[in-house]
Amino acid sequence: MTVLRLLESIHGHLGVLAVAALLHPAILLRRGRPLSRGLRWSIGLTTALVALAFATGLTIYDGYREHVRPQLLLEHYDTALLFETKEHIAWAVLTLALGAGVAALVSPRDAKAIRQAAAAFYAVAALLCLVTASLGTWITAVGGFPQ
Amino acid sequence: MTALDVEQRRDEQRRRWAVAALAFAVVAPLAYIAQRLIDHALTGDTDALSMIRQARAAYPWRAATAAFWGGLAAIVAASPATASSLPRSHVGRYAMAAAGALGATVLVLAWLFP
Repeated sequence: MTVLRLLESIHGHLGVLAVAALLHPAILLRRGRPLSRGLRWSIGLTTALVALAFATGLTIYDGYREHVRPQLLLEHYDTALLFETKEHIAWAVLTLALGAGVAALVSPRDAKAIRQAAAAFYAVAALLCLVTASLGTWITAVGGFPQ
Repeated sequence: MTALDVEQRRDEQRRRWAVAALAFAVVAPLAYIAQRLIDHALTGDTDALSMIRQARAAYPWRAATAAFWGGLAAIVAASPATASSLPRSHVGRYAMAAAGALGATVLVLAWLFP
């Protein structure tokens, strides 16, 4: 297995984990209650996981452009376009998770509305992350890095 | 200045940072979409060969530019003038509506203009 193939696999697994992780603060923040220590950890780890999934995607991006994309564009054009769709959505997932995470962590005790808004941001990020992970799985099944 | 004043001031500052973070979360994806739409308007539909020939990886630059605009929006949102002009009770509702609209917009445009 090549390093790129391994990183691609790690990226995919982190993406799927991120979907589940994003749902946790989306559910726990929905009432806008002040943060417990456990919820602070959950928010911090979720944000870190999403950032890590995005970062591993960026590390294999050049390799993908060089080794996978040309073949995919020529043989499976529609699937190659789905990759472009996936990368646009992934950016929104990262920014929504970062914004919601910081907003929830710094909000004062009486800022219930801000924490409820952060919950909504997490819920939207989870939905978009699910689409991203599904597209990624499909694209890799059609044409990923060579073994 | 009493301890209560100090605490109130600190809470106000934290509220401004929280609103700034939400502003970043809304503006950064919008700035990304705007760049993508401008790209599409300038180049039109691209075929496989022209996509392969692209020498420059546009994605990291587009994301970095969008992050810049998001950061700028966060600074504006965190400024005392903006914070005092926002009706406090409505910030959460506006943000929730923005999150829903943003999610739908990103999905539709990413699908239509890959």
